[in-house]
Amino acid sequence: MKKVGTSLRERNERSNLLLKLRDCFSAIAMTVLLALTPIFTFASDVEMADLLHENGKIYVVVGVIAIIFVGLIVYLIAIDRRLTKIEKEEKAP
Amino acid sequence: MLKIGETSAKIFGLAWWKWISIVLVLFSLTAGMIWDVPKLPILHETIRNLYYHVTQWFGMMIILTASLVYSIIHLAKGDRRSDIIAAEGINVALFMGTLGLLTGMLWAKNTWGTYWTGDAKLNGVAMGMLVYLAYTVLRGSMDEEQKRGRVSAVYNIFAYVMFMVFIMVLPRMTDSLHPGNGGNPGFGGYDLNSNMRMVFYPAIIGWTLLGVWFINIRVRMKSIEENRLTKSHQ
Repeated sequence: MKKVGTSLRERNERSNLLLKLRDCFSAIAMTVLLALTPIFTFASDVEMADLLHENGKIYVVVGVIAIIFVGLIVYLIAIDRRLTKIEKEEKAP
Repeated sequence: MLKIGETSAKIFGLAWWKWISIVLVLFSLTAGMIWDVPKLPILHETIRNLYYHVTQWFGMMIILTASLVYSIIHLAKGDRRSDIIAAEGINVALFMGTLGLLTGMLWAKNTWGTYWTGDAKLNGVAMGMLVYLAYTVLRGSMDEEQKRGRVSAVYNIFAYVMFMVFIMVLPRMTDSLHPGNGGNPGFGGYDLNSNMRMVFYPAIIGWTLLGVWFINIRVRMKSIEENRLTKSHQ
């Protein structure tokens, strides 16, 4: 009986984690989409800077910047997690 | 003993405001490069530097203000934690200020034609940075903990006032090339359209929170170090 209870709780935690993962992913996706809105809204206009951007391949640069930033953040998160682990060890004894 | 560990609510093992900082900075990096900007002579596309160069300074000033508040709390309560937060805040603020100086020099080279001018804003900010560098020297020169805390907190109050006079008051009283100074209108005056504000304000919040994240890591490291020191003394 007890075993069933724990597995249920585990399942609940797992689905919670999945929900959180989904939330975070959608937040990031929304950010990128929000940044891209001018492309969709101004696509019908023929004039102005969108041409320059397309020909100038500015999106390639934006992609590179985004990749580097995400890399730096992943590294920063790793440092933060490691510090949290050390803090737990420090509290333990 | 100093408190160890974080108190803010976590999402995925990371404090919620750190996620906000990631999203906002990523937004400023992508939208800041893509969204429409006003077409102005001399500036051209470099007006986008507003999202990156100016936000470093805004973030620095917000963090310096927070550091001042923690110094005052330290003077009132005499606790070690606020002393450490004030000191690490200045460390990170100096780092952001250095980035602001370097990016500003690159921008100046390509719009004003030179890396450095005798401009009141530029010299003022250089002096202000030196005032805060003196803070770190002063702090490093004292071993006794309570004395160091009090002296550096009092110095921080003076440094803050000096810094603000150097960068906010004096440049406005003379001629200056820098926008917002010496009779020049700031960017907000005529050419910062609503599109740019939509990136600029989130960018300020994002970069500031990123700086706070650095402070957070440094304070936590310092707390562990200090606790180990007290343990070894006992």
